[in-house]
Amino acid sequence: MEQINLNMITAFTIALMGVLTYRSHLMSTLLCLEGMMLSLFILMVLLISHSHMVSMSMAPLILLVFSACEAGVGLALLVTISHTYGNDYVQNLNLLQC
Amino acid sequence: MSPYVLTIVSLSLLTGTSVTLISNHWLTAWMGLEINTLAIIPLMTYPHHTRNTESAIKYFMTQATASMLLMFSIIYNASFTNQWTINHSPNQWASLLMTLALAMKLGLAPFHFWVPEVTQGIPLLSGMMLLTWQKIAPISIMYQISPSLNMQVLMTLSILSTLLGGWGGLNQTHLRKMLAYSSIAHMGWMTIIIIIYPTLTMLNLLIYFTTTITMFLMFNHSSMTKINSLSTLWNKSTPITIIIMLTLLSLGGLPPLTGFMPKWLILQELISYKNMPLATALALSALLNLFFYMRIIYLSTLTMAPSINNSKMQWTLLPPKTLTLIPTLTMISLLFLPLTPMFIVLT
Amino acid sequence: MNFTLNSMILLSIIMLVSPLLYNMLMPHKTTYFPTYCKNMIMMAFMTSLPPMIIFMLYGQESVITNWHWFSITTFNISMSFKLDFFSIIFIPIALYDAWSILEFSLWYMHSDIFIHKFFKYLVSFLLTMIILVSANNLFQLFIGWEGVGIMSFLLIGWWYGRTDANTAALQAIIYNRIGDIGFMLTMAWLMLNSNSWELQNIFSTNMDFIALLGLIIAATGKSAQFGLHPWLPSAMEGPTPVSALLHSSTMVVAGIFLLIRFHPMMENNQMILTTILCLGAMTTLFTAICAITQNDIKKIVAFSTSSQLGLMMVTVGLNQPHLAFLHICTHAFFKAMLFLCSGSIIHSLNDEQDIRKMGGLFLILPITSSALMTGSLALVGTPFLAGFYSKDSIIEAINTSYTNSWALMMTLIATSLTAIYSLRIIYYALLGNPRFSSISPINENNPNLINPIMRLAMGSIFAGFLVTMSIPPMTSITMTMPDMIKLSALLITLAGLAIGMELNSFTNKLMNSMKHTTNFSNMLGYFTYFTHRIYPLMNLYSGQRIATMLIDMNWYEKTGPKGQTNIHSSMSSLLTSTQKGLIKVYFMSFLISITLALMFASMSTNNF
Repeated sequence: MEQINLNMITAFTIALMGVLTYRSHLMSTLLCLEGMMLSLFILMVLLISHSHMVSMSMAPLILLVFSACEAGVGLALLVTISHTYGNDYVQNLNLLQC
Repeated sequence: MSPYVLTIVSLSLLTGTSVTLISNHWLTAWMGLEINTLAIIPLMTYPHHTRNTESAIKYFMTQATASMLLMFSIIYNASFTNQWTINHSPNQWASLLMTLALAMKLGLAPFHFWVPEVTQGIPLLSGMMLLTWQKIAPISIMYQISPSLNMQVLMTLSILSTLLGGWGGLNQTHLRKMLAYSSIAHMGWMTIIIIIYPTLTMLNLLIYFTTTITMFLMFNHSSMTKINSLSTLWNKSTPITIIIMLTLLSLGGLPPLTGFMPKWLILQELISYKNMPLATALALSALLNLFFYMRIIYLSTLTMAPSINNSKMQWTLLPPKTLTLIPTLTMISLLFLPLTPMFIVLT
Repeated sequence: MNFTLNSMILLSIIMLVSPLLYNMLMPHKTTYFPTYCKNMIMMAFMTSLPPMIIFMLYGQESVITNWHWFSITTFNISMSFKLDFFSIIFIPIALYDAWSILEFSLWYMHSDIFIHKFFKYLVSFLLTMIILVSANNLFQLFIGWEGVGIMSFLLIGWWYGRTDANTAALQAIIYNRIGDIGFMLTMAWLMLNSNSWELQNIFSTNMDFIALLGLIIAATGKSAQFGLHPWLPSAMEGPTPVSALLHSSTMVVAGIFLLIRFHPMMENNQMILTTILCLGAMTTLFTAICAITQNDIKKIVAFSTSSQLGLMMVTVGLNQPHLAFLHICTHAFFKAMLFLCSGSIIHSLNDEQDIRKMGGLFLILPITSSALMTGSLALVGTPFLAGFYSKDSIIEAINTSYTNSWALMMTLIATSLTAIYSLRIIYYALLGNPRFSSISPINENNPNLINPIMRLAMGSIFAGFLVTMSIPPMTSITMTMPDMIKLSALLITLAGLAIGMELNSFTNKLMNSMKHTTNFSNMLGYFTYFTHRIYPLMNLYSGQRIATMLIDMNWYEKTGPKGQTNIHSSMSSLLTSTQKGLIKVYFMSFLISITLALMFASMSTNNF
């Protein structure tokens, strides 16, 4: 395994841990999601260019488009929630407990 | 919600699932899942309320994480096998991660926390979409990679789902939460058989859909979200109480009703695979579900809540509502047990 | 000759049945029924005499098979009678006793409104005993065996309004059921191994230790040997005629009779003989010890019966069944008489049974007193009274045999104790000053009272001589022995009399040092305390524990319905309490599950 691959997998794992472990701000969770997406993007690019999968050369861009959409939705939700609470603390989201 | 937005969102939902269903390529399948996730968020947030937003955020976060994990396992798999087709059996570690990611999307047991809360925060019809339509895409991916799924992990998740789905519903008073827990338990039933006999998963999914949709439509018909609003149902809409009772019994899997069919076949299949302990545990955990269904039935059908005289027979005064789909779905979810051989052949 | 023997015995049995048929067909004609019963039994006795004389003169024995009852595949059961030495001698004696006892009952029970039922029971009791002794197959024998069991239950519980009578009746039936288990064991063994219950077929096979042990258990239950003896003294709660019949010629001798019947099977099995010997020795000593401190006149006589039964058992264990049978015959006379005498005293003293409240009766009840003394002397084996012929022979046979000296010692001590307790009755009840209430309805004029006692007194004096002289000798007996051994029975009896006098004088000289030594005897060896109190208590305790701990606590509360409720409600609330509505909980669970799954998978495989 190339070093950069290992590097990117590590980056993905760290970003995943970032999402899964507790964040006080919703924004930082979204940033971690973005980080995961970007590391996936680089991994994909590396794989495609390394293995010369010509037909797949558009795939990283599609991934990027979806990541942008996701980020957009995420930010929209962030805006909505901060509209209500005035901040973006994750711990505010506790209305639905059993 | 404006009709334009509604059209776009509905079409996107349709498209997402269709893309996943027809795709042979991992990337497009993933795209379908993403479209699905993103398209349902407007439906969830529509009546502007903090609860709706909150459940949308929760749903979004879990689904996005699961998608990332799935994409990662796809790329990991591709870098080992140089294959992007779904039919190609994936690398062992990639398949483990895929199992976990799809379990997260479906809401199987240790990943089930979001299901009841998200379902509770959104309108009834969106909840119906969430618990039925949104399951199609992940289940179809699972169905396609079923031979290479990780058996032990999936079995553990399934049996945990059936048990926690039963236990979780026991002290709930919200109808949507009860249905969400019932969904968790049914997902357990579906995934336990997916490696042994994937056809039964599809059969179970179909019957679960008809029954759950019937339930949601009936709750939506009289706008009920809590168990105590059931007690006055008998003087608002009498036939509904009977249908609720029968449909819930079908959902619980009592013999003369359709719901018995998938449970029967799954148990039979497990027993023929010499997996008695698992079959016993599943059959017993179904009792837990049946218990909280019985509580709904008890309140809505078996007892008559006291009410003042002029509030009795209210259904004579209320304007009639159209019961689109409910009769058909009721018939399907109640009376299809004799058609078992046909279902086995078709699915 | 054969014809006369068979038909007359059967005729006497049919005569016994006739009162029962009469009562069954005409249940309301009860006025003369008791007298009719008595007369019928008298005639049955007369009828059974010619066969006995024929047997004595010619040694005629026979087996009658009348009727094939039923078959179970190859297993036949028929109704057949065995008229041999034992049954031909025993039937007249039993009828003679019963005749006297029934006549006595006419006097003793005259105020009972159910007297006809009482007589019916007595006749049934006797009939079942006759069936038992004359049976030639085990099925018929078992009918007689169970018949005396159930009739004794009904008769002991005659005064069922009293708790004690009910308890005693229950004790009798329960102890007898324990014995019946042994009898059934033997029957089942024989059914399996010899495929026949006919005695002649059984005697041609070999019975092993288990089968014979079943018989010993049966005899232990029925004849109240040590271990199953407590019912016998309790049975004194029944009316006195019942006790007389029970102790003389029916019921309790049935066990000994069974062993005598099966003697051909045992005589070569030394193990069984030793068991019987030791059991008999233990019984005779134990019950004799119990007898010496009793104050109830009937209980003393009852314990003396038990002791004599032990002696019979010892004799069977000595391989001398004919001697044991002789003792049964002689014992029947004087024991029946002793009971009739006690009945007379009890009635005369207005239902007083305690010998401490009697005294001086020899002046006011002369016939009863002389009969009581004759009976007691016969019991202790005074020369040339009935008991002497059997008891002295038994002691001689023990002394001259090469047998267990422990059992010998036990038996000899018990023999001397016999003298002590017999003396005690005479001393307290008949001698000294009156200690009873002065307005007692003393009356000894009724012929129904006097005649039976006189008849039985005749029997007690002459029966031993007559029977010994007229029956053919069956076993060789030792004719020569040293003087001391020949006289030992008499000597120990005299020693017992001396000790008894000394003990009686202790009552007037209270000695503190001897205060507690009588407790063992007084408390019946603590036996009833252990068996009737501690075992039921332990069983009740364990039953309570099972009911409360195992069933209620463990099953209903912990594992059963309540347990399920607790498990599910606690699991449910645990699960609900994890639903905090916080994203960190979801994500933490995701993280943990993913990590666990990966660890699990990496443990089960090792290629990446």
